[in-house]
Amino acid sequence: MTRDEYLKELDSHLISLPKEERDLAVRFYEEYFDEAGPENEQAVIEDLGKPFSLARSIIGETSLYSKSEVYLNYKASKPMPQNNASVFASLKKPEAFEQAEQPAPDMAEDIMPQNMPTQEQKGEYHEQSAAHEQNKGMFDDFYTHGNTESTPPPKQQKKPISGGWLAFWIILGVFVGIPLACGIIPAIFAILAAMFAVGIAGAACVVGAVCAVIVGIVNIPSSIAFGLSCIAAGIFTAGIGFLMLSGALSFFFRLLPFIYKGIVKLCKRGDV
Amino acid sequence: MVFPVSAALLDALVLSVVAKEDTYGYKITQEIREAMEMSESTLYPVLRRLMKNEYLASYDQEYIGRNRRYYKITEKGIEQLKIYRDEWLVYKEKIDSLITEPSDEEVNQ
Repeated sequence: MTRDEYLKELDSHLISLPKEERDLAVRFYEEYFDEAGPENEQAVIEDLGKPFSLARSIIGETSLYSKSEVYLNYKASKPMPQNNASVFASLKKPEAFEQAEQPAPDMAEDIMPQNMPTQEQKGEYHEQSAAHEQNKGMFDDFYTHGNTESTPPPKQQKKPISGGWLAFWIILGVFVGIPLACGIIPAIFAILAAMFAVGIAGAACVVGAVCAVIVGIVNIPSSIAFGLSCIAAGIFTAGIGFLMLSGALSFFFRLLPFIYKGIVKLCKRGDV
Repeated sequence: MVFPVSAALLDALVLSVVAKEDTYGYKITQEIREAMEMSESTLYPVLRRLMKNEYLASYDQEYIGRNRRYYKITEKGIEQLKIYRDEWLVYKEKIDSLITEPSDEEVNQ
């Protein structure tokens, strides 16, 4: 890889940075190559590592600026023997701000008293924390840019229904929906009632069949023909009864829930 | 080097080098490399950080037909460097007192 190829690739990996940051970084390394001289070109490329990882280190430092600043500020705000006014003035406020917010147990003692905001410092605290937010924003930006494939696009918001359409649906509801409902709802009740009746009839058949079989058994000693025909009729009726009963039961316990689920699903799909 | 170098130490080193005289990126790297191993990729992020903190400022100067970007330390940077230097002395002494092999005299006492 030549120096130009290297720089071009580096630039392409810095796409998530603001233009200005990107140009600065590429310019820096361009100059670096110039200083090192063509004879050291390959050595520099080797030492810099892959353009991608170099870009990562640049992006990391640029976007996580607030993080490194926090570190700097912690160092700066540690109590020191020659803590005079000028040193104190140079304390980084954002660090102190963060520390004050969530003091680590072991640091709290020596940092807190020093960094208690005085009246005139409070304003600065707010300013700095706003700057922090901004930095965090940059960071978030970078992440959203970087991961566009993995984050699904936000769902489209439902379009509000316009007045004209609303009127249309209401009229449709009144002139078509209500008559339709007047017809369909009684029909549904009729079907339910009919199936219920079939179920009851089935149950009655079974009961009657049991009785017929008992009567048949009782009558076998007096009249074999009568007894056997009673038993046969009983078994035949029992078969019909069981058929009706199972039909009704499966209507109520299997077909209805299935229809209900289907309707719910349809409604959900209509929602989205 | 077996001991890891922290961001703060890098900041202190770069500030120290620039405090001596205004200088440019390549030269800063070379100077720090005299003291310790440092990848050429390390310096740029450190410089950006110091610039954003306003510890360093930069200006361009022409050098054999092209621009060279020089860095100079700011008032704020000088103050920060003083903090780092004081911190470093305290740190160095504490580490030394633990890590340095005691001399014969101390052992005999």
